[in-house]
Amino acid sequence: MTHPFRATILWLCRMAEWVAIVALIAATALIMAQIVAREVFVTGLSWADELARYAGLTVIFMAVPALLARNEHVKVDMFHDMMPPRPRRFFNITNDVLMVVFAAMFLIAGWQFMQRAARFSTPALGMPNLIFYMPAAIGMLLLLLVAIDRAVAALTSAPKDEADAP
Amino acid sequence: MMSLVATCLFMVLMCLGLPIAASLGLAAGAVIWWYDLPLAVIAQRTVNSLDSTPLLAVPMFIFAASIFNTAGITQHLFDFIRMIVGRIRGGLGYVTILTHLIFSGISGAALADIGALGSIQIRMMRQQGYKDEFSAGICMAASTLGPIFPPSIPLVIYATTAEISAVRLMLAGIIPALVIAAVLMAQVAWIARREGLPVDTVEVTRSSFLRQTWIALPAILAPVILIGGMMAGFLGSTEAAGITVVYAILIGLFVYRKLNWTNFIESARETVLACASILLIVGVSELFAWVLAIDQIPTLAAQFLITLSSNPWVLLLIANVILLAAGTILEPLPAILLLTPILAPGLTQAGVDPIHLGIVVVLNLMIGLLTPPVGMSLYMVSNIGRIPLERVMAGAIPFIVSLIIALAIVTFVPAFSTWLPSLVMK
Repeated sequence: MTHPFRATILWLCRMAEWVAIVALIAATALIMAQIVAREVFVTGLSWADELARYAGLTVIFMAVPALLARNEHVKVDMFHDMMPPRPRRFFNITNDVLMVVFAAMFLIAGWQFMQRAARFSTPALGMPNLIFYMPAAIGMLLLLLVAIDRAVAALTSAPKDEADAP
Repeated sequence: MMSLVATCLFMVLMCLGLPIAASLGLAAGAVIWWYDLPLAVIAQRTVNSLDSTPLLAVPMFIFAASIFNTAGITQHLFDFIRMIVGRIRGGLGYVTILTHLIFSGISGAALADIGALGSIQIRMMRQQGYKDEFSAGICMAASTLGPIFPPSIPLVIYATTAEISAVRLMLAGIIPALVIAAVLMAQVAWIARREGLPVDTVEVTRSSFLRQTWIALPAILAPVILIGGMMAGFLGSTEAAGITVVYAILIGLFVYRKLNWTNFIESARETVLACASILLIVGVSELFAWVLAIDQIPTLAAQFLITLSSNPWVLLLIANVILLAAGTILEPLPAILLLTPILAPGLTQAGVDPIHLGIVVVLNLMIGLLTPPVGMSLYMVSNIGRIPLERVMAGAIPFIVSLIIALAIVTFVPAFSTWLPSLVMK
């Protein structure tokens, strides 16, 4: 049976993936709206450009946790695959722990960045920066949770288990 | 010193199998922390570099290609081109090159093209008695057309990094892509004569040809609309990509009638995952490039290149050697993001056209996809064609030679890259 912590994280990843899908469709619609506004109504939509960029950021950061959960991040596994089982297991664990460090580092940096940036708003929509950068914060927080789950699974799995963590 | 530490750390982490985005981010982050630079910059540089209208073209191009694929266009294109050139000796070799050329007008990434076309091509060539080495080699070599012919994700990313027009750069890729296709076709002709490659078994009648042309026409029109829109000057690269998505949806729904809600959402799901995978690397590479810039590496590199020679041809030759070497150990996107700020200032100072340099950089790095250890095309073709990796590598070698010949032509005849954009966009 799947551990409740993992089940919750995987559910959150699926939800985030849906948000990314909606953002992708919204970005397409906003780009089209800009073309129609300019070519048909001879007017520019600076808010639509800003919203499309926001949707773009949402697409990226909401899908990043699902990538790790599916083990689909781009990586070079040639040397890793050539290793004998014991060092390979060691580096699997190391890589999972380093993913935790990466996500945590990003979140700490984001927290520091927002101390200053949160006071400002976006130019066209006047959207508070806190909302503008929210998809990145949520995505990286979820990435941290997925990474912790993988690292714990890798550390507690039996040594004979050579497969990657889930 | 700081840059050297970051680069070494990145290479070590990447070789240990850590995702490339995390390898770049941790290497840059470690240096930022060690040298007591503000940590906030990690989030700021990464996110702000992705908050970009030109980069929005990337999800749009991936989305369009995915929908076209779902609509079954790849098979129609393949069948259509078989009818035209299949009955020449070595016909499926030409078919492979031409389907990649047309599909590259829809998609913008080499690996996506192999994913969409590779299994059909390799299976068909195997059925007709081609050696697996040839099938694998021609499929990988033809996939380099994808990122050179518009639309192109690497060219969009290069344009963003080098701060040049993405539309100009993509228009600049059209003639070089035709040059590469011509060189590869010449090689197929030579191999066909030497090894007696088979003639395709496809039956062509007047009615079947007309029917197949009619079926394939909407797919062939897609690049025409995209390039036409950009050439006419009323569409930017992101807008052209958005129009292509809408066109793909319309023909998927009303012409091929294969697009439904389920596979549309599946295409969107594939797109967001591919997009996150590519663009997270782009964002973190920007952070890494910032570390290099603090060390003044781009300025020092420019000065160093100028001391080597002020002759643009010599510098282009040096750049080709560096890029080909980098392509063997780096993925194309991080390579573009890390090497462009290092190479471009020196070369443009010496008189190399930045548009021409963009095509040269991307072509070099696409050749790197065919070379171990980080030759992603090799692994992908081995995987989808179920061909052992060593046979795929053996198959790649003769085609790498042809691609280097094409690279030499594109490098030393800049007009192939610069003529079309200067003609269209005054």
